Amino acid sequence: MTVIYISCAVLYIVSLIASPKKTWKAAKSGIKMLLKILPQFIVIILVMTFVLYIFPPEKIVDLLSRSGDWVNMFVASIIGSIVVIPGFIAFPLAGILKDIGVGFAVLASFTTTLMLVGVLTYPLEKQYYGAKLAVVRNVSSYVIAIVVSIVVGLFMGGLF
Amino acid sequence: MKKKDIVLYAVTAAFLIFALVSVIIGFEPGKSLLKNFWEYIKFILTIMPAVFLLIGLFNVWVKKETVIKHMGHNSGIKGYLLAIILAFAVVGGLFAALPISKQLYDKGSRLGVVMTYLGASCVCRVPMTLFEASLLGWEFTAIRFLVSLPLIILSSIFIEKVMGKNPGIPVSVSDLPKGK
Repeated sequence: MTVIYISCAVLYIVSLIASPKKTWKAAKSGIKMLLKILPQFIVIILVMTFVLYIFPPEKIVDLLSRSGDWVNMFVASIIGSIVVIPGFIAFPLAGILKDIGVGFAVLASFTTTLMLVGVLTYPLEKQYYGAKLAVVRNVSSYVIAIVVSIVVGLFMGGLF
Repeated sequence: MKKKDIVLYAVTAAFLIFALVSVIIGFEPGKSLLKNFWEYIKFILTIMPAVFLLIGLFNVWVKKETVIKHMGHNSGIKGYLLAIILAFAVVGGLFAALPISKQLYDKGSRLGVVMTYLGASCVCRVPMTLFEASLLGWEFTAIRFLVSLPLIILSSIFIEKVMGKNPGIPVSVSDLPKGK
């Protein structure tokens, strides 16, 4: 977090020295882009707030520690695809799952879909790339996540 | 301001009032909703301004020709590798990676390279990876990397093919001076 602000400041100072006019334009265009997409961010945050309330981490742990590994892997991929959880919640959660004995394939399925597939962020993606690309990217990302999980299962156990 | 946006801000305001009242009267669900909301908002408000200011700089200083040369249609394998290297440094997840990747696309990067950047920034951001490896072990992280990165490149090439010549991508989210 600090790193990004320091690099931002340094680059802006360099830019200011090179051309104050261009720097002003850069700042203006950056802020403008942010303001334009901000409503989209707020929608997703509001929806996520409620989703996280309905599916708190404890409930996800409970869901993923019930049945066989293949079923769990599938359930994990669905949960991971839908929710958007920041890393600081997601990985400790994965750590807890690991400690209670959930297989690595399930963890891979959960974390990879979490990062790559975004059902709730779809409106945002659509705004940037259009509906078709957003759908194609998410579907192929889901396939990638499943392949990754199976390979992880192959090497680290849990599936076979 | 668009009508849709006004509705959205009204809903947000209503939610905040509900949450604050919940805190005052000690209504538990409302309190935990506010806590969730705050965690996300904090994340957006702290990281996004810097991310977008950097996008602005990139927009003004990096020439279209430069991006086309290194990440455009004739960039070959180097474009894909560059996309992955750039992806390592991203912070802020999809919220940041989407606008950054779009900026690369607008500057003339080919779609396959842009998709590689987007996918790679989702799976292999450095700060996140360190965190993951410390909790789940290096073997796990290594396998995940080695399997997902080649698949991301392959699927990006596939996506570019599927989308064809007219991918229907909105021109730009930013209103920038023309020709820049």
